[in-house]
Amino acid sequence: MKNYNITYKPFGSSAILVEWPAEINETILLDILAFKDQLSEMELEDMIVGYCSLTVIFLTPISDFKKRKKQLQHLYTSRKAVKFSNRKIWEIPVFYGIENTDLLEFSKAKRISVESIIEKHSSTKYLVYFLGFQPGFMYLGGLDQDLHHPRRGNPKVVPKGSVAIGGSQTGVYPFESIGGWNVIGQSPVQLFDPHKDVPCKMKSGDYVKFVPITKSEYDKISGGAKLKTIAL
Amino acid sequence: MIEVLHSGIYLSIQDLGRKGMSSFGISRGGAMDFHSFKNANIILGNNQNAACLEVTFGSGKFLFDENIQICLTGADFNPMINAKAIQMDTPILIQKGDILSFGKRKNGVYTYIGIKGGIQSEEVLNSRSQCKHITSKFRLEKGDYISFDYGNNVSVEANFQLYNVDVFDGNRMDCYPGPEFHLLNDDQKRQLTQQFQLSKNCNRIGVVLKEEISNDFPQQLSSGVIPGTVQLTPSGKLIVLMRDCQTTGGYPRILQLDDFSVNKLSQKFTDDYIRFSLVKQNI
Repeated sequence: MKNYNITYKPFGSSAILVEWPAEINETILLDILAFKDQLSEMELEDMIVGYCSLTVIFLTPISDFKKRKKQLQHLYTSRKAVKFSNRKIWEIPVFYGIENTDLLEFSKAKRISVESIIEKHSSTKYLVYFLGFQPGFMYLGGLDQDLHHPRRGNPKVVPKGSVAIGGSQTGVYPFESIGGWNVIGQSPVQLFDPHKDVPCKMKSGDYVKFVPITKSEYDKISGGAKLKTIAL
Repeated sequence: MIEVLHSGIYLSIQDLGRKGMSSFGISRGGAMDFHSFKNANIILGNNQNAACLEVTFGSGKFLFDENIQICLTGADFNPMINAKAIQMDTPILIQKGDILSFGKRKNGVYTYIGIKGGIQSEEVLNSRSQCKHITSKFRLEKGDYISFDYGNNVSVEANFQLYNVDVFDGNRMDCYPGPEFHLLNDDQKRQLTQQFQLSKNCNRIGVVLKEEISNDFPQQLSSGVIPGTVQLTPSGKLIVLMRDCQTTGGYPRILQLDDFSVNKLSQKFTDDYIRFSLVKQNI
């Protein structure tokens, strides 16, 4: 495996921030995840994955930074590549509708037909970089350049399940929120359930595909939907 | 059981939060002031993580329908039982029918009501801390009942040692240089040595400070943030993240409060002044 030139910075008294070159790409993400797997043998409070960083939070304050850094450097060089069998593609059904969404406005502003927006949005395989912002909210990479569109100037209530585009990003809102993203559809699946041992099935390194469904399919799935996966 | 007669500004059940959940986008959460929270449990001989009530700004009123032992720590709002003053940081015997209320503010923001045995409430992902999107309710309301278990949760530790440091002592916030501290020029570093005043925008998620620091830093790729992270926003305002903060953020993290100062800051209120004091780190 190629070893990146990564840096280690103290982050408060109990954490170390590990940083990769500042780029958004899959190779870096997979390297972060490989390192994270390797660190899972340590007793830690938590590890936070970012686009090109890993925040390692220890259970107690770090008394000797150099020693800790050496230990992490050693674990980095002994990491193993993330197994493909551990990664999944999730199919998320979406009802792309013009009612109660910004789809029509979006189409006019971008001068792209509604059909073409749906086609472009649902033909991409999106990489899950990490979860954040809300429990179960996925930071996805891979949005078609033609669909990049600035956030709305006037933030409004974005309903639970909304599929939206903000700048160069797209995502699904697990909960109602106030935001400026352009809503283009609704997904009937529940992405997050705190009462499950694994509250959100999608994880960093997985892929997500949006599958267009009709209004009647949406109504049928609502409430009792099961997420489908395809082998990678 | 305890009946909530008034829930005030924000009343919730808290413990030390849920660890290791950031991969789901879940922050640790937990008591705003870990220090006072732990003391309530230590004084009662509870397990240190036993759930307590967190009362915001002394607004809350409670009716007890059992004899129990409680202990109040943190913000002092002249607590009373049946309108008679009681002591903070002391075990108090409660009789069935007693009413706990608060008076004028002496100091602080968050008061903890520890209960012998700890609160028995819904546990989600290894914690009873109420939090939006995680627990069925994110805070308590008038008319809610709180259960506890007298025999449960008693600590096995032989000697209880109180954390003998004062969260209300002064306005100095000890902090470390944050991951993006190096972006600051000398003038910006000098601006950080001024006094900062808390704005009205203070809650369990973060504390926004009033003063601004000139900056033209670009946003950066989202990366981990933790309670005590001081973010410099594009408008120049500083936000200090608190317990219920998100797990990642894109603003430069210029300072990082030490753990004790996070507790200290949680007990500061709008218009209070604070000062950042850089701690040398052995690197």
